[in-house]
Amino acid sequence: MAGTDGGTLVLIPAHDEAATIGRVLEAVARHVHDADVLVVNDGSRDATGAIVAAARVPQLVLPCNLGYGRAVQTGLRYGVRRGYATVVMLDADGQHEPAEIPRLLEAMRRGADVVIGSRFVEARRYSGPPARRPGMRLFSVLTWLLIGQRVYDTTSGFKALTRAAYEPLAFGNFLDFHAESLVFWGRSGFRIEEVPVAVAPRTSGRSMYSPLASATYPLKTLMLMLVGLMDARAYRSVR
Amino acid sequence: MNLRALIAINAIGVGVIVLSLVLLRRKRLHVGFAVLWSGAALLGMLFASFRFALEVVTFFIPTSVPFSAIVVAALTFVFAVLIYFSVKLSDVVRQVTEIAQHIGLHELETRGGPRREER
Repeated sequence: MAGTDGGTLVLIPAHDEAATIGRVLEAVARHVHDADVLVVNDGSRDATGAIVAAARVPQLVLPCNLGYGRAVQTGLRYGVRRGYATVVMLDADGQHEPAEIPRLLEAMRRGADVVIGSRFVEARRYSGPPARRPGMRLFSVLTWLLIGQRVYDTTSGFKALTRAAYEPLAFGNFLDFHAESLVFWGRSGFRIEEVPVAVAPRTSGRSMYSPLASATYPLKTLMLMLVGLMDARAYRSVR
Repeated sequence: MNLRALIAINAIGVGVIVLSLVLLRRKRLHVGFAVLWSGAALLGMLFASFRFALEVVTFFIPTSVPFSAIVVAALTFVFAVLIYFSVKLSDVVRQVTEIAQHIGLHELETRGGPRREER
């Protein structure tokens, strides 16, 4: 891709998503114009890489599986290097609808720094696995207590970010850019907005959260929320 | 447990948690390990501060006195942590190997490697 001054990057992390990545890329091409697309192939062992190559979409290939957070962070570092004004993060498993990307970008034009495609800000058809709902509510309430703003969907991977919002994430200490990044943004003075979107249930592939990862995720996120508070204070002092 | 020992153990526990947070913030400690050591510190403070917690452990670990139960639990914890570290180290070794191979291959392809003769 050519270097840019400004412009939008649609960033799609993918690990073993051969069943859905082709459809996602077609939908992005159909609904999003004037944006570059980058797939971060996170050490896929299936045909994900071949499908992305056949679609002639630029692909950053990681030689081994680093996990969702590090894959996204690698893409964000690319965005910083190339000077993109906006990054839109989208999952490769087909759960997020690319047709909704223009609505996220519209909210950004209204002045938001962080726009979250939210499953829960209005009642929509996806409500998530039952085992995760108490945790989702807990982090929504905790985030509200820490930043003074209720964010209903703290674990959405469907986000649009301005350069000022995504650059600290590219080099900072974050897990999966969920509640811990919301705390950092909220306390650093970034404007966060939620836009209701429909999210389809996963129909193929595997969740990035194994049972063990699901058990340790809340504890890791809590620790990183504390770190986010400290980092936000340091960020405000140098801004 | 006398008061001085209790204060010392809780102070050490708080120190471990603070140290974990500081190292995590400086990116010197992975968040998974920070959770592990903070959790261990909290457990140590819990057992030191509440005899009831110690008695619950003694109930599940068949020893005659709570102190023996703590030793057994501590040894089990040490072994579990060593196994966990071994797994994580193995992951790191594997990833470093793959990255090194990837870089080597990439550099070769960039420089131009030997070409197979047409037969």
